[in-house]
Amino acid sequence: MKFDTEQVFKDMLAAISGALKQDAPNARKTIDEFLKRRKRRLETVINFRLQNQISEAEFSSRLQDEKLMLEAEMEAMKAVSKAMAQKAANAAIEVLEKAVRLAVGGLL
Amino acid sequence: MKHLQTSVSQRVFLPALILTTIFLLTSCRVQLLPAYDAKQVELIEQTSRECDLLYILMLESDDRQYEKWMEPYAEIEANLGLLLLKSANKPLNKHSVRIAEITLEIWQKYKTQHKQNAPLSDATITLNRMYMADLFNAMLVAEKAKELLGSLPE
Repeated sequence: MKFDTEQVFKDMLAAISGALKQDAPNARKTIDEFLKRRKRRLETVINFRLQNQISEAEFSSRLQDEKLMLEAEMEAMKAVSKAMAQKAANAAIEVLEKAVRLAVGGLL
Repeated sequence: MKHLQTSVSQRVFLPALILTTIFLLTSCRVQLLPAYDAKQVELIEQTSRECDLLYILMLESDDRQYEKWMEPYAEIEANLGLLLLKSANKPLNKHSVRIAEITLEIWQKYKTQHKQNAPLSDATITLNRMYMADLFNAMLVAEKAKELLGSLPE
């Protein structure tokens, strides 16, 4: 049985694309949720400062906290991206494996 | 004779090469993150709930002196320490480790501020509650991303 390299690589690309398309909406939703939470925090901090419910010192302290919050959110998104990449890469490897097994089955 | 030797070696060599390729491919999986751990998610959710409960009760209470709240502060800090320890002991888990470090750092900051500036105002408690909840959310997002990859065996 002939091993059609070009077709196999096309199938691998399709597997990667399919896996990424499937997970992209959830990734988008996660980013939107992080942005929504950030907006809510900043609005609350600013309102409390304007109403003098927190001091200038606490206001500055919260802005410092926001740097760490952003870092935590970025780390979470990196984990999401890596999960998507791993799933897509392994889907492509599976396609290649199946094609090779099929070709070997034809040979033996 | 030479032709026969060539033909025999091709019959043996080619399948051996293909089988070796299959073996290499099946053991060749990309791994960028550790497996999903349902127990870790449970601990994150439990600690998040304890933290939220602390702040809800504090908002309801007239007594906001640090000493009254020492025990729940300690309980939550111990759980955050455990989350960091468990995250750090998994390979390829640097994102979850960093989130756990940040969460513990901010928790300790808020605890110290309460110790030094007691009693806390409604505004400060509300903000602390919000920031901690958002950190637990980031922790859960990073952990649940691993669900895409399959779970740890029971």
